[in-house]
Amino acid sequence: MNNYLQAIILYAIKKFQGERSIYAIYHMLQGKKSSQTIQDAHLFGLTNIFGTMPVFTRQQLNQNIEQFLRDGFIDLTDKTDAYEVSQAGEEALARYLLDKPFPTYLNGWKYQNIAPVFWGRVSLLIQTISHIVHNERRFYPIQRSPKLQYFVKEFLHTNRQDRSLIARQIYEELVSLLESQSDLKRDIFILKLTGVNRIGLTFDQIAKRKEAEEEYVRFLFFDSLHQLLAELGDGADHPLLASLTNEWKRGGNPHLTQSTQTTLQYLQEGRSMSEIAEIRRLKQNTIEDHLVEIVLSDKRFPIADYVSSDDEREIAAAITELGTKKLKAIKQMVDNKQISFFQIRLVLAKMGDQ
Amino acid sequence: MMNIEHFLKNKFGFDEFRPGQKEVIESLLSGRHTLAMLPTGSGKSLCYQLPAYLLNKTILIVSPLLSLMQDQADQLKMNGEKSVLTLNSFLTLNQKRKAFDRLYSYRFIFLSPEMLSLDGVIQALKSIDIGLFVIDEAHCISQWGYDFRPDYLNLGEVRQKLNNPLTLALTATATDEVRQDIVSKLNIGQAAEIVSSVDRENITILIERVHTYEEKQLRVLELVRQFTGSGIIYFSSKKMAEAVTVFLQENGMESVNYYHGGMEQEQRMLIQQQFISGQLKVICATSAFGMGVNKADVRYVIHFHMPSAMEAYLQEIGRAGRDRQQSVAVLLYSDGDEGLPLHLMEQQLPTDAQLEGVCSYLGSSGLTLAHSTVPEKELLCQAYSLNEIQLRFFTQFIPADENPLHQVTQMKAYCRERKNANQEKLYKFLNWIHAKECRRIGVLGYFDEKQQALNPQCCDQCGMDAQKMEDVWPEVEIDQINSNFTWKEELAFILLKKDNGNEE
Repeated sequence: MNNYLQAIILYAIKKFQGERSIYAIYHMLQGKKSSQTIQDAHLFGLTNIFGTMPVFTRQQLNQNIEQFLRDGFIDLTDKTDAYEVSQAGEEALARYLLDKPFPTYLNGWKYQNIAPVFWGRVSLLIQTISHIVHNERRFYPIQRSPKLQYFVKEFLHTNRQDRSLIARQIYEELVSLLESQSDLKRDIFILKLTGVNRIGLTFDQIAKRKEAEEEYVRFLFFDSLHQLLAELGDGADHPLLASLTNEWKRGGNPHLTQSTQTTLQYLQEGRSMSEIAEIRRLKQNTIEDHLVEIVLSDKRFPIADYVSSDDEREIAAAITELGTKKLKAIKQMVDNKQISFFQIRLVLAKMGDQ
Repeated sequence: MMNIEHFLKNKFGFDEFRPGQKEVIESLLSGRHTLAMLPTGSGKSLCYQLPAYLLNKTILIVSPLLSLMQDQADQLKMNGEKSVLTLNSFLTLNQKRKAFDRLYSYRFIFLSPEMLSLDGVIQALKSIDIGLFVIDEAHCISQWGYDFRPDYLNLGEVRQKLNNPLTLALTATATDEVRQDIVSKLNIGQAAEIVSSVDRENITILIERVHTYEEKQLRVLELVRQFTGSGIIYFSSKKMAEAVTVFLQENGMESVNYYHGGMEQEQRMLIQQQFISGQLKVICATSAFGMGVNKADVRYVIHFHMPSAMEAYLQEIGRAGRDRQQSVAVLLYSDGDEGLPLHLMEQQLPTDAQLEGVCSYLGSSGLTLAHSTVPEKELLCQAYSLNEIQLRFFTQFIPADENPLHQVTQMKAYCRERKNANQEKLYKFLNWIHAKECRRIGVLGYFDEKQQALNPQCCDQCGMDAQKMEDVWPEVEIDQINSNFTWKEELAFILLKKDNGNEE
C-alpha cells in the first residue's frame, strides 16, 4: 500500500463486502447527497469517511482499483464493479493501519458540511485578531469567501470587548481543546493557521516538514477539526469558539438535504406522504427516500405510520438472521407480499449499522 | 481645480504620480472619455480610485475575473475604504437585495460582465448617479486582443443603457489595432488616449537557448541558486510546474512551491500569500498565477515554457521589479517549444467536426444548453470530447431561442478567424525569440513604439547575460525563519502580544 488514500479506499471496499460497486465508494468519499449514498453510509458503517474527499475523482478511484488488482488485494465478485478484499488485502490494510491508525474522531456524516465553514471562520478570525492585536490594520484575508469575511466582520461587530481579551480567550480555549489531541494532530492544526508575520502551510508543506504523507495529514486535520467540534459540545467550556457554530445548533438538522428538510416540515404539519408528493409535485419514491433519510439521521423518528410494529419485528428478524443488507434477500425471507421495499428500507435505517 | 498631488499624498500616501497616472486623472476630471494603456504594475487602479473621491459619485468597475475583482476590492478595503461592493453571482439573494436597496451609497461597485447582462442589474444601476464607468482589462473586448472575452462584447450596449457615463478603458497591453477596436466597440469616439510606453526599463530581457528538457531543468536550478530574492517561474503545464518544483526541492531549494488552477482554493491562497509575504521565495506557476498579486520586490521571472503571445509575455515579466529596482526576465527556449502553446490554442476552440456534431445534436434533440442539467452537459462533453472551455464556447454562442443549426457556418468562420489570429500572434512572438536584434526594440516595435533611450542593462542581444546581472543585482534582505517552537508558543506568537508579558 502506497498511501493513505489507498488505505481509505481499501477500508471502504472491505466494509461494503462486495455488496456495492466501487462507484458507491466514490460517491461516499465525495459526500454525494443522494438517498442511496446516505443510506449506504449508514448501512455499511461508513459515516466516518462520508464526504471527507470532496475533490476525489473517478480517475483516482480507477487507478487505485487497478493497483489493488495488480497487488492481489481485491477480487472481483459476480457483480459488476463490485470487489471483495482478499486475504492479502486484509493483511496489508491491517499492517498499514498499525502505523497510521484510522482517525478515530472522523465523522464525515456529522461534520463534513460544517467543518470547512468552521475552519474558515476560526482561521479568518484568528488572522484578523492577530493583526489587530499587533496593531497591523492592513492584511490580506486568507479566506476569500465573501460569506466568511462577512461572518467575521459581524462577529467582531457584535463582540465589542477589547480585542486582546478576545485573542486571549481564543488562545485559552484552543489550548484547552488541543491539549487532548495527539502531537501530530495539534501541530497540523497550528501549522495551518495564518497570523501576523506568518502564513499557514499547505498540506503538502506540512507533510514534508513532518515527514508524513500528504493524504494522511489531510485526514488527521479533519480528525482534529471533528474532534474539536465534538468536544465543543454545548459550548459551556468554550463559549467563544462554540459561538462560531451557533446557527447549526439552532437550525434544523444540518445533515438533511434541503429537499428532505422541506418534506420533514410537511410531515411535522401532519401531512401524509401522498399529500406531500402532490403538493411538492414529486414522485412518491422521492418522498420515500426522504423518509429513509430522516430516519437515518434520527433513529427515534416514529415509523409506525408506515410500517406496523408486527411487520417491523418480522423484517428486523429477517435482517438479523440473514446478516445482509440486500433488500431482495430480505424481501424473499419475509415472504410477505404486503411488505414493500420501502418498509424494509425504513427498518434497515432504524436498525442502523449493527 | 483641487490640487490632485495634495490629494495623492493625503489619501493614498504617495509623493508623486507614476508615469501616465496624472494625465489619465486630469483627462477624466475634465470630463473626457479616456483610454489608458499603462504597463503592468504601474498603478492602473489609482487612475479610477483617485477621481472617485473628487467626483464624489459612484464608480462602476467591470473586471473580467472574479478573483481579480475581489482582490481589487480587498485592496481598497485594506486602505480603509468601506464603501465597496462586489456584485457577483456568489452573493445570496438576500445580500443582493440589500445591496440593491442602497446601491447609491457605494463609492465603488465592482461587477463581472455577466452581471451586466441581467436586466435587473441594469435597472438598478440606472437609478444611481454613475460618476465613472471603468472597464478593466479593456483589451478583452477586442477579438484582436490576446484575451478576447465574448461577454465583454455587450459592454458598448450596456454603456448606452446607462446613458453613456464618463468612461475609462484600462489596459496594460494593447496594440494600436486593439486600441482602435476598444474605442469603437465602447462607442467612445472622442476618447483621449493616454498611452505610456510598454517598456519596463528596470527589467533586463534575456533569452537563453537550451537543447533538452534536462538541460532546461538544470539551468533553472542554476538561475534560482544565483538570483537572490523572490522569483516566479512560468510553465504552460501544471504537471511540469509540479515536477520542476520537486526537482528544485530535491536539489536543496527548500523555499519553492507550485501554484496552478488545479489546486484547492485554500491551498492556492496560502501559497500566494506565502509568496507575497516573502515566506516562500520561488513559485513555479501556470499563467493562473499573478493577476492581482501585488508584490513589489519580485526580482526575476523565468519562462520555462514560452507564452503564446507578446502581450502575455509582457504581462508576466511585468510582475518583476514593481519597486523599480533592477530585475530580470529569462526565457528558456528550446527548439519546438512552440508545439505546446499551439496545441493548447487548438483546444481553446471547438473543431469543425465538434461544431457540426454538437449543433446537429442540439438541433435534433431540442436541448438548449442554457437550460440543460449537469449530467446532460457531461454526456454531451463525452460524446463529442469537449473540454470545459469548448463547452463554454457553445453555451455562450448559442442563444436559447435560436436553432443552433443555423449558426454552424457562422461559428466555423468565427473559430477559424480566432485560430488564425492566435497563431499569428504566436508566430510573431516566435520571430521575436529568433530575431537577432535588440529585444527591447522588438517589444516596442510590436506596439508601434520607438525606443527613447539606450538601456545599459538591456538584453542578451545588447550584451547582457545572467552572470552579469550579479553586478547590478539589488541588495536582498534574507530573513531567518526559526521554527523550533512548541505548538503553544506558535499559537501565542499569533494571538498574544509580546510586550504585555503574556508570553507562555
